[in-house]
Amino acid sequence: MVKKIILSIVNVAVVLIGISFLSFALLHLAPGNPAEKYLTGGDGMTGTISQEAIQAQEEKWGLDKPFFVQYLVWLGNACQGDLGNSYSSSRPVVTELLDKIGPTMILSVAALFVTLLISIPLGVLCALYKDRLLDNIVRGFSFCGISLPSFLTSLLALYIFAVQLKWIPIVSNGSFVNLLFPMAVLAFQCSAKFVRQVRAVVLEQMGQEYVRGAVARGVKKSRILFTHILRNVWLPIITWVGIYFGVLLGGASIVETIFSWQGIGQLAVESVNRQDYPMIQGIVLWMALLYLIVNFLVDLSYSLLDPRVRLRKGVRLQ
Amino acid sequence: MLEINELSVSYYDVETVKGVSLSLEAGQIAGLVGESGCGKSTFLRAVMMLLDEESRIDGGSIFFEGQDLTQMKEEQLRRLRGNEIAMVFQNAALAGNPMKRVRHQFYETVASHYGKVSKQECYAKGEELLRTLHFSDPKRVMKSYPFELSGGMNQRVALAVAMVNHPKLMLADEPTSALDVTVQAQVVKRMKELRDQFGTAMLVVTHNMGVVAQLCDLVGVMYGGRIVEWGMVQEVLEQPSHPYTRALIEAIPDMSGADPKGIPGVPPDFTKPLPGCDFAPRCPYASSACQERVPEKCTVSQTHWVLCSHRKGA
Repeated sequence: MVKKIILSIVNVAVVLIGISFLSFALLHLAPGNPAEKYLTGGDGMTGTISQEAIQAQEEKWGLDKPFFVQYLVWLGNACQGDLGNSYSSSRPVVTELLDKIGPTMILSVAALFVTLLISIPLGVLCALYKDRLLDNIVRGFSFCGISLPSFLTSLLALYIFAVQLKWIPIVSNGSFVNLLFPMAVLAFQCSAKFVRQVRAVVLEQMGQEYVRGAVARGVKKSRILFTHILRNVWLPIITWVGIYFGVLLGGASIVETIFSWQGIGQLAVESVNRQDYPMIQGIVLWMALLYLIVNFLVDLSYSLLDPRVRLRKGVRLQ
Repeated sequence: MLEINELSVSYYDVETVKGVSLSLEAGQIAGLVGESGCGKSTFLRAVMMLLDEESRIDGGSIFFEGQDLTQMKEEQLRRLRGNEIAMVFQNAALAGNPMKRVRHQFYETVASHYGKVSKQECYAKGEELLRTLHFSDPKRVMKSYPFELSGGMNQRVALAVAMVNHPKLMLADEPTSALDVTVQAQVVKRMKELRDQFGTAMLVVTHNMGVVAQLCDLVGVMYGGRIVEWGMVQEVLEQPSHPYTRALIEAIPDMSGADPKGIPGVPPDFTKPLPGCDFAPRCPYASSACQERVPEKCTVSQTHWVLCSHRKGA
C-alpha cells in the first residue's frame, strides 16, 4: 500500500511537470506580447506605448530571458508553492485561484447533484421501460441537450429569464437565484449525456446471466433491480461522475462567462485574453491536479466496491 | 406432477421446440439427451417460463401440480421459482452476481420465499449442502465470490442453491459437465438422495450417457426440437428404437481405444424446417414416406415410445 501511494505521488508529479511544460511552451508560442497588452490595456492601441516601456515591463516579468530559463525559474518557484503574481491584478496567482475556486466549487457541486438526481432515476426508468413513451420523450430531450451548444442554451436562458421576464439580474451578484440558471444549463447538458449512459449500463446489466439466475431463484423484481443491477451499475456511474466533476470543476468557461459567475472558467477566459502567463499556468495546473485527484478517487472507489479489483491479488481458492 | 403437452417455442419466429409432450411423476428423474442445438436448453428454460425476449411460447401447456404455468402471472411464477421449481443453469459460474458472495445466493433464495429469515441459518444450511456435494471447506466457499471458484465448484454451488428450498421439481442443464468422474459420482449420489428424501422430480439435460445410466429413471432423446424417443432408461439404452438413438449410443467412446463412430451428416437447420422426419436426411432407413410427413408416435412398450415409422430395433 505504501509503495502504491509513493508510486502514485511520483506519477502525479511527473504528469504535472509535463503538463506545465507543455502549456508554458504553448503560451510562449502564441502570438502577441503580454507586456504590450498590459500596458495598452489590451485595447490593441499599438504604437502608443514606447518600445522602452514595453522592454522595461518585459524585464520586470523576466520575459527577456531565454525560454528554458523562464520555465525553470517558474518551476523552481512553483515547487516552493509560489506560482507568481498575476500580470493584470498583481496579486499572487494562488490567492486569485483560491478566490475563484469557491464559486466554481458551488456551481459544480450543485450542477452535478442535480444531474445525478435527474439522470440516475430517469436512466433506470428508461431502461426498464425501454422504447416506451417515457424512454422516447427522454431520448428527445437528450438529443436536444447534446446537440445544443452551451452558449446557445445559456443565452436563451439569459434572454428569457433575465431580459424578458426579469427574474434574475443580467450581471450576477453571486446569490442563490443567480446560481440557479448556470446550474440549470450545466445540469441540463450533463444530464442529457448522463441519462443515456445510465440507461445503457442498466440495460447491459439487465441482459447479464446473473439476472436470469436471480429470476430463476424467485428473487423479487425490485430486489433484482436494487441489490443486483444497481450494485453493478455503480462502478461505471462513478467513473462518469468523476469525469463530469473534473470538467465542471475545471470551470465551465462559457457558462460562467455568459452568466458572469466569478469562477475559474471566467478567470481562464479573461487570463487568456490578457495573455496573463502566470495566471494561465496556475489554472492549467489546477485543472490537471483536479483530474488526477478525481481519477485517483475513482480508482480507489473501484478497489473498494468491486471485489474483482479488490481481490486481484491473493485469490482465495479452495 | 409435471405434465407438458405439445409445447412449442420459437426463437426469432423460428420454431425450435416443436410440440414436445412429456410427463413426470414425483420422484422421477428424466434425462434429456441429444446433439448441441437440438432445443434441449430452450425447452428446459421454457418449462420454467424463463425465455429470452426473442423467444416465445407458441402453444401447448405446462401443468405443474395441476396448474398451467403458461397461464400464470409473473408473481405466481416468482413464488414457484427457486422454491417449488429450481433450475441449475448450464453456465453456473455466471448465474451468481459477481459482486456478491456465494452465501448471499443461499440467503436470497430462502428469503425470497420465506420472508424474514436468519442469515446465519441460511448460511449454515448452505454449508451443510456444500459439504454433501464434496466440498472439503464449505465455510470458505460460502465467503468466496463466484469468480474465485472453478467451473466445477460453481456447478456444485448452483446445485446446492437449487436444493436449498427442497424443490418439487428441479431442472438442470448439464449439471455435471465440468466435474471429474469421482466428484460426478458424488454429485449424482447427492441428487438421488434429494429425490429420495423430498420426492423431487428432475429433468436433466446432459451429454453424458453415463450420467443418464446412473441417475435417471427415464430418458428422452431430442432431435430437431422434438423428443424422438422416450422411455425407461434401461429400455432405451438396451433396445434403442429410433435410428438416431442407436447412432447416439454407438457414438459413445469406449475404453478399447477404437475411434468412436460419429453420426454422418449435420444437425437439422431450424430455419429450414422439413415437411417430414427431421432425421430422414441422415437416416440409413429413410423411405420416401419419411421425407413427406412427420412419423406418428409408435408404442414399443407401455413406458416406451418412439417417433419413427420403422421401429427396426423393436
